[in-house]
Amino acid sequence: MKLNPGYKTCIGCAEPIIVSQVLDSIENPIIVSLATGCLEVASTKPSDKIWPVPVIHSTFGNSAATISGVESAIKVLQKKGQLKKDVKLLVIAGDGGTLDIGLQALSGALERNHDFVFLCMDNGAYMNTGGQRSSASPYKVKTSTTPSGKITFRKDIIEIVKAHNIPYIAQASLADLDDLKRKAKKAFESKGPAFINVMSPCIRFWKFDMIHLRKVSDLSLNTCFWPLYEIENGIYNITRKPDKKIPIKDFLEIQKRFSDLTSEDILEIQKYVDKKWDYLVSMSDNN
Amino acid sequence: MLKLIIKGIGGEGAKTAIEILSKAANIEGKYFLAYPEFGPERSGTPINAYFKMDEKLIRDRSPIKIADIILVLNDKLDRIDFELKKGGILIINTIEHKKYNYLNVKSISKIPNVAMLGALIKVTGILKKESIEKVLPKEFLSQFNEGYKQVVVK
Amino acid sequence: MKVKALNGQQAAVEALRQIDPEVIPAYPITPTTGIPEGYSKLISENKVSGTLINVESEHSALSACVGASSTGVRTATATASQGLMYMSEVIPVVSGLRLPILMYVGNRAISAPINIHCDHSDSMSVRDQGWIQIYCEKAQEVYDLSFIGLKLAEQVKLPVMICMDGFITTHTLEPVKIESDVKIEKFVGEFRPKNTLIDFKKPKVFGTFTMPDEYIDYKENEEIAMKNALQLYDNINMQYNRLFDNKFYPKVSHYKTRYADYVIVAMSSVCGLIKDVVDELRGEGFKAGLLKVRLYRPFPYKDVEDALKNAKGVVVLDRSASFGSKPPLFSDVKNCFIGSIQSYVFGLGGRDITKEDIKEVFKKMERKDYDHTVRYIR
Repeated sequence: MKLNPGYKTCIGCAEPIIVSQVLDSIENPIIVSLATGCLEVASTKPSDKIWPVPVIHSTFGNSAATISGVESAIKVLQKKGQLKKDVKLLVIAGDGGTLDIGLQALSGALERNHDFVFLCMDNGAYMNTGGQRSSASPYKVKTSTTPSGKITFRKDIIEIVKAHNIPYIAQASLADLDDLKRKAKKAFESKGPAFINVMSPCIRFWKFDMIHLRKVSDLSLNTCFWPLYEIENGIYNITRKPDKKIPIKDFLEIQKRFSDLTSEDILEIQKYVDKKWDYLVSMSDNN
Repeated sequence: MLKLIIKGIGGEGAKTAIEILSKAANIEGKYFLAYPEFGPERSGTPINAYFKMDEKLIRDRSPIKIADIILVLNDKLDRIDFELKKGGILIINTIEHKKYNYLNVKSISKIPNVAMLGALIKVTGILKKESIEKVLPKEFLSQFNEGYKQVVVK
Repeated sequence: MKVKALNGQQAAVEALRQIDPEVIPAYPITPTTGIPEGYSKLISENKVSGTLINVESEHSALSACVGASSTGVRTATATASQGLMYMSEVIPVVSGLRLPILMYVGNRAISAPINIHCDHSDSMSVRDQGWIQIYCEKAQEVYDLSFIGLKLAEQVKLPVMICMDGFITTHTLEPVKIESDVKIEKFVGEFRPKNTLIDFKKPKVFGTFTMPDEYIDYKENEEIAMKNALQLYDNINMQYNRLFDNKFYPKVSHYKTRYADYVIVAMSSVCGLIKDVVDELRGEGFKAGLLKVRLYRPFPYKDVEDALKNAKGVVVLDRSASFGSKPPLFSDVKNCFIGSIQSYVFGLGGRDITKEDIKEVFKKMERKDYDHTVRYIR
């Protein structure tokens, strides 16, 4: 199952690609709880026929709380024998709907152990409303609400989710579509909550050229800005290592949102990326 | 309409006492309104519990300003007869009292409410003894009966 | 039929036990904590088949209701005051999605300053959002109107708020006539909505993105549903009355309003006290009356107009304010009466109103002491 054509996202938007990969990873019927955001606005008009699955959208921050209600209802119906299908539940939210206004509902749903997959499409800011910063925005990035560069580092959502002791967590990107699909399948098949964090490059606000569409994701992998890994029952596993680790400068310099970085800034960011990568390597090597 | 106030310290069972009275009144087909003093949950501070009873519908839910009967679960309380009407009945949990009906609950039980209900029924007869006995859990029957027996009537 | 000693919260729990919704998401707040508490006890005793979601906030409670109800099951929750305020983002989502969710509100004042006692500012703050609102005078009404309200909600596809006065009704024990499970089940029937999230053959988007050319049509449909609710209420009330003797809950109730010179219009628990005052004044030859409004949204304009048409003067008692303007109930009643009418606000934050206050309100109107201001009963 994939999204039908007709969605009104920007040309080159990653979101429909990510969602189609995830929807296509299993055969089961899926219900989607969709947070307010770019994809939601671009695909849910009454006349639109884009979604091949039932979708519910209520507000920006509550998509995990909404799916909690759906999941409980389904469990009761299954228990009563009124629903025989093995329905899978998928929340789709951006970084705002996951890390900021959505964090409370997400945390609640994870802690209560509802059986669902939470897909976060992280483009590093509130793009749908004009590119304001979110807590997922990278250090020193220029956004409409951090015109001089964001002074804090990103929230590590993977570690926050990991603190809830859920069975499956994964990070993926468009650098490896098969890896993303495999992770989606694993997430749907695990019992209890699962979380997938996918980097979603945004042409409009990251300000890179269209020809770099594929390159941006490849660079995120090879600079270790966005490692591809999973945590299964607390055990870390890097699913695709870079052939050769390259400087973060390469990733940053093709995006105009980083055009004001000083060499000091870049050094800081390199340190941060290295620290995170070393941590990951040590966690997965210790298995 | 009968108006009764139970005064105590949080944890002494004033709230439970009016629940018991409500259930007993219900068995006898009476109409009643029963409510604890409204406020945030807390123990260790003075609490009033209100009980109104009548043969017919009671429509007035305002607090009781003048009571026919006051049941005092703790003798350390201040102004125990503040709301008592002229000629009203007061029963107090204490070793000895010059003016009012009293019962020394210490010898019967730790939590005074059930024994004091026994005293209440003996002194006032506002409900049948059997009605309360029907409603009380078995393990509390003896406290109730002791209170009934031992209350000193003035 | 059994008579039990129950307070408003317990009456709600009893109604929920008999309705047996599949999902109850709830977040506890005074004065309705007893509802999720009571319901979780029923679950632990295997007396109900549904599930309770102990969500992490009221916003999530109503959000989870949206999810569950869209899946096609009966859903209920309970809240008050700040909880309802926190839910208020989702309140119009529920009515906009036409979900017949049942919500109990233990009417309580809203901050600031913080106050946990009774007034109507919480439910009144969301009165425009397309929810059916029913105000209950006592626990008995909470019980019976749960079923009438739910049936109405499911027929017109709008959510329903069953309101009861915080502490005064939520925490006060009274005799409540409980009907048999079998009869209630028959009255309430089954809930089988057509379009749900589990329709995979014709998958639908719930909560579409609309442009100016479409949005207003959705809203007009909500208005039409409210109109239908106004008509259908009487039918459902009659059905209930046929099944259960002596239980009759019209949209408004007259208490000696016929041939009354001066009528107070009010809602909820204060009506009990007003009836006592009306009796006393009638005893003195003063022709007082009470019009109690039960169904507040949709507002029963015609019923109120008919009831008030022969009065010399009308007084409206509101238990909430609309700062800078006239209070809610007054604003609606004003459309139903041409003549001397006075607005009063009383009981905010749980402040008592006495018999003397009510008598004074009647007497003032008789002395033609009225004006265009909003008077506060202190």
